[in-house]
Amino acid sequence: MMNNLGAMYRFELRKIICRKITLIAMTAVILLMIAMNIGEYVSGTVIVNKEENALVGRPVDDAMFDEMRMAVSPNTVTMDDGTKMSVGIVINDSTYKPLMDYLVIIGGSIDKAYAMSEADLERRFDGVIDDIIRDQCLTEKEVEYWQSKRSQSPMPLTYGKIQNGWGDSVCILYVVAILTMISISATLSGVFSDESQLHTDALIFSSRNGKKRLVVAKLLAGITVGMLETFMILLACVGTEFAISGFDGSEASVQFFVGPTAMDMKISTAFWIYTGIMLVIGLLLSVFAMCLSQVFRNSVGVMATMMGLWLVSMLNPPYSWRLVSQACSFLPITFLGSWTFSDYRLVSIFGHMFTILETAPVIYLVSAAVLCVLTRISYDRYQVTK
Amino acid sequence: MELVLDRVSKQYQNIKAADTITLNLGVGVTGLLGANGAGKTTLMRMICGILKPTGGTISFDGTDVSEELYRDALGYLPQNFGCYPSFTGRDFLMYIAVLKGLDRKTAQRKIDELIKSVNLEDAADRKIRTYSGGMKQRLGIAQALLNDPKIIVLDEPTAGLDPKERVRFRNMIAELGKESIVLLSTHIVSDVEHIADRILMMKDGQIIWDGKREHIPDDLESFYLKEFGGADDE
Ligand SMILES: Nc1ncnc2c1ncn2[C@@H]1O[C@H](COP(=O)(O)OP(=O)(O)OP(=O)(O)O)[C@@H](O)[C@H]1O
Ligand SMILES: [Mg+2]
Repeated sequence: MMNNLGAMYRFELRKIICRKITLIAMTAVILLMIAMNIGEYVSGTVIVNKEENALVGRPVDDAMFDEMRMAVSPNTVTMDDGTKMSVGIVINDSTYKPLMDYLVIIGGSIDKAYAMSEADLERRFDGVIDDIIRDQCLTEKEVEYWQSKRSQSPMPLTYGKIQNGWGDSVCILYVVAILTMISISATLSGVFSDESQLHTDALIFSSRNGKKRLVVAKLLAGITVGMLETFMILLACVGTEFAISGFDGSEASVQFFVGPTAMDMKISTAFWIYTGIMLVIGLLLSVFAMCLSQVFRNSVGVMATMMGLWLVSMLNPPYSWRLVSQACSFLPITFLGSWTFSDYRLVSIFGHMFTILETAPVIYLVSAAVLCVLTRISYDRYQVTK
Repeated sequence: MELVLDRVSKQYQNIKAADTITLNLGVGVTGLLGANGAGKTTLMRMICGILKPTGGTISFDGTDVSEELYRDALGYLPQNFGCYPSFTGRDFLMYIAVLKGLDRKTAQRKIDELIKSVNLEDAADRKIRTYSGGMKQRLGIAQALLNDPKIIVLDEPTAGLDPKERVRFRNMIAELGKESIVLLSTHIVSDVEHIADRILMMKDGQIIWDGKREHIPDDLESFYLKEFGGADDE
């Protein structure tokens, strides 16, 4: 008698792919993703500024601010009582417009943006970071950790395009995670439950390989499809972002895109980290959907539970409930946001401190492994009673 | 060859679906008669190892029902036989053959052979969703026999078969009964009265009548109805 694992794997792949809902969900999600990105471009939310390229890779220092002041100036009007007020920007050279726009957000007003200096900018960044550190009720060790990180991180920042493919991708990956969750829960919710619904479970569990090894083939097939799905949704998203906004500016500081953070790095590094974590999340969601499918033996229940968890992960417990709120910060569906770069709580393992970005993929992989084992245990105990 | 059930019980919340059943089944066709809810399906599921008894043991020539070797000897047609609508009949049989651990060559040979003997040659390469109820049932019979089983458990196998197929099937079972242990449940007395070497009657989870070939009354039908006090649905 043979184990036939390969043949079982191929059959299981086919069963998943032949589900109508698989194709529908995947196509819908990918089209939605592309339409969203292109829609932003067409509607003008995303503006591609070619002139800006001249500044890419340069330090954001006083020299650059001086040039900016030559290129743009505030449009000032005198009020009735004699005070002057800036109501807009006059642009002579659009190279500096994105920088000016950015400084307006950081500085809070046109005048402050116009008067910005390198030292000013650094002070403002520090202020924001200090506020977050205070809010998050960090331990002394954590504060120390980040102070030393900040002293190493280079100021001035490196300029990148304010709108570039790397940054746009990083900022939209949380949408990819949500869409992947929806798509995977549609595709893989039936891996085990369909057998009960179709009454094929009696045949499976009365055969030698069905009882013992099929669970492995099913998990592998589900992971294959789930990962492929994740990859394709990711590709659709990132592909359109890069097609619209370009590859320039990979050296830029992540802080131009996610706001001031002590977790400074190049935007391209952030991009690769987030993409990697997204793939791990795809794996975790696949295994999770299948585990629920085995335990519930009801595909509607699987989808409902996954949607429910998404809602739950949008809740933000207060920072003062340290354990709960830190645990929630790892919930995968809402993990890949700009907010994660401002989560300074560390995980300490054997005296080593790890940041949220370092810990998350490990937690996800371990959880996926545990879920596989749980699925197997539940499968072994399954009884045909319907 | 002997299938041994030793004080097998199955208790659902408040129902005893099988009540300390002790049985020895040998080579030959055994018909299992009983009204709806008598416990036939429950008993067969336990024999096929897909439902754990709450008490007692089941073994085949000393091999426990939980062992892989036992499964290798088993062919099972469940009552609500299910299959994948998007598969063709042939694909479906190949899938079950893979689950049963057959190698490709043996599987293909066996599949061709069985498609012929259940008369599905014309439909074998069509999607199962286009099958009629009776065709599906015949596919179910075919899948049960893929691994040349020593123990054949058929839960209402004749449901949905037309008279012609019913006769064809009866002959097939009689043939199988020469070399294997065949347990066949039904409501229809005429399905088993001529081919069964032994008849079991079940009621409320208990075997209330157990008769070998020579003890089976000529008029089994009326005997059966009498045993069940007219409470049968037949
Ligand atoms: N999953 C279950 N939970 C609770 N009770 C059950 C379950 N399955 C079966 N029963 C009960 O066990 C008893 C035996 O059921 P079973 O399906 O074995 O009968 P049967 O003889 O096969 O009937 P039929 O001729 O209708 O197929 C019935 O009273 C039924 O209600
Ligand atoms: Mg039944």
